[in-house]
Amino acid sequence: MEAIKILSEDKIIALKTNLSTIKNVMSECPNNEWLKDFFKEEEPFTSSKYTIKNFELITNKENKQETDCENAKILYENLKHLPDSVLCDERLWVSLGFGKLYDFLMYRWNPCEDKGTTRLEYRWLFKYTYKRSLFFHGIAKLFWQVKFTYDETLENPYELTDFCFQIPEILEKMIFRNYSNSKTIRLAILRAIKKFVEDGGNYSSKFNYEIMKYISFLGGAYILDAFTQEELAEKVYDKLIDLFVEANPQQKVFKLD
Amino acid sequence: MRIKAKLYPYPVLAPTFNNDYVESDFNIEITTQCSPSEIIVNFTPILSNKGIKTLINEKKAGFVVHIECGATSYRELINIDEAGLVYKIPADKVEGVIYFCPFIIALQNINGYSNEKFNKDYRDLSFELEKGNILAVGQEVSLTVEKENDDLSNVPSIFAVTEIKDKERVGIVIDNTGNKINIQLPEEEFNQFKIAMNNPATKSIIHSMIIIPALMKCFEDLKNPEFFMQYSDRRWARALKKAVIKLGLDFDVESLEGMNSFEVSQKIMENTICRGITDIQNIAKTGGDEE
Repeated sequence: MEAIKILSEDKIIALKTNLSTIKNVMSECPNNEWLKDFFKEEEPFTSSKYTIKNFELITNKENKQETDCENAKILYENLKHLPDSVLCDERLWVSLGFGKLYDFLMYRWNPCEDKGTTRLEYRWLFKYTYKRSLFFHGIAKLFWQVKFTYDETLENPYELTDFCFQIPEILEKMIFRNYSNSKTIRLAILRAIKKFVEDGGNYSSKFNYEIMKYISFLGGAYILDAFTQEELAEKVYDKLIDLFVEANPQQKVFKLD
Repeated sequence: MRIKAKLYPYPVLAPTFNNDYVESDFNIEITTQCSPSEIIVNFTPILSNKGIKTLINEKKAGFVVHIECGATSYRELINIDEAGLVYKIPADKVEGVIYFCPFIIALQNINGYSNEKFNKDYRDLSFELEKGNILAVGQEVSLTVEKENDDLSNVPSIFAVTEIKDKERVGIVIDNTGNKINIQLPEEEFNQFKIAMNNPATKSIIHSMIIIPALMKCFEDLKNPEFFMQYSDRRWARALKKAVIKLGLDFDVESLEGMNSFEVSQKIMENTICRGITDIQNIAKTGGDEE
């Protein structure tokens, strides 16, 4: 086990203040040694009270996106013991990115491949605060995608995670809605969409958008959290069938393949 | 979840924003107590409406409180019985603002719901309610969790003064979109700033030149409703809120609009400009050699 090394909030602010400069030094330096010069300190990181195992992420595949799901699971297994208040803290993710997982972020989101500084702002640093950034940052995003889809009641707890990495749009659209904070609601929606696809329905962005809207609409008259996962999944599945029938008027009923 | 004044397709007992019921009242009183490891919340329901009380006794309806902390994605629906409840939230599950929203909801489908205290517009009407439908809405309570023992390291100040190393950028910038007010200074000024801040003889002068204008900019920005909505939950804004309330003022867009940003900034910094002027005189007298 090793202590998680953290960059202070002021140091992170200093990085945010100097995006062009750090992009230039990152293109010239093969590792994160440049941080010492940047902060004029021999050890810019301090040890936190939290520890993690020594783990590594996959950084050697040509198709980088294909490694996301596997890397997300590795991250989840190694960080899931941390408290939620730490897991949503900018300092944890930015420090991992500029520290322990520097090579991974260079592999997946090399800022030098970017014309401007957008990658640095969104994938290395927190451009926004709180939840939104957690789903943009190159490492935080992978971890939280698993945290939001992991279902310990399933034989394969990563079943919904795998499904969401195949269709990333589902989570991308869901996380900006408050109801996604509820595990019951989240998993109910994911289970229903997965079942719909498995039963022969075609996933479409329009259906996904309509489902997200439908849940918001339900939340106007009901306390969504009062439903069980099964009750809500049934409502979502029924709505998907309505949408399918509406989009395929020649087909009067939803048919299994 | 936040409570909004809205219309429902059936009467809802919501004393704070409608009059669907007469001679009736509902709320769940919420008091909180924070310790380093947990937040202890006391819920005490208050209900005066015989019809809804009967539904609760028959377990067809129930008191609930919806708890949500957007920062950590913590969200719970807590069932509360008539006698109330003491509930503990682990401190490491939450961060920043937590919202508590009290309701009475249908715990099962209720056919032909009617209530003798319906407003006369609804009298003699009956409604079909489904499980999860809202019967009554209470007053939302928010709690901001400020952790003294920060999880990753201490957070000593709401200001960060940083050096601009990007060559193409010139001038001083005040960025208040993050949790701290970031005052960005060009290299030379940054180095001078560090020296001046460490010198008690010049500290008040620096505060007057840099901190006061930064505070004034923040107050002026907060007068804009859009900015207020987006940034008033930042740590620097929460700290300013505390300071403003301590001065006996309110911290909302309307109150801020009529507020003199210069005066308030001066008061918060305990008249640092006056001290700064005295310091300048002292430096002039001594040639800046002392201290």
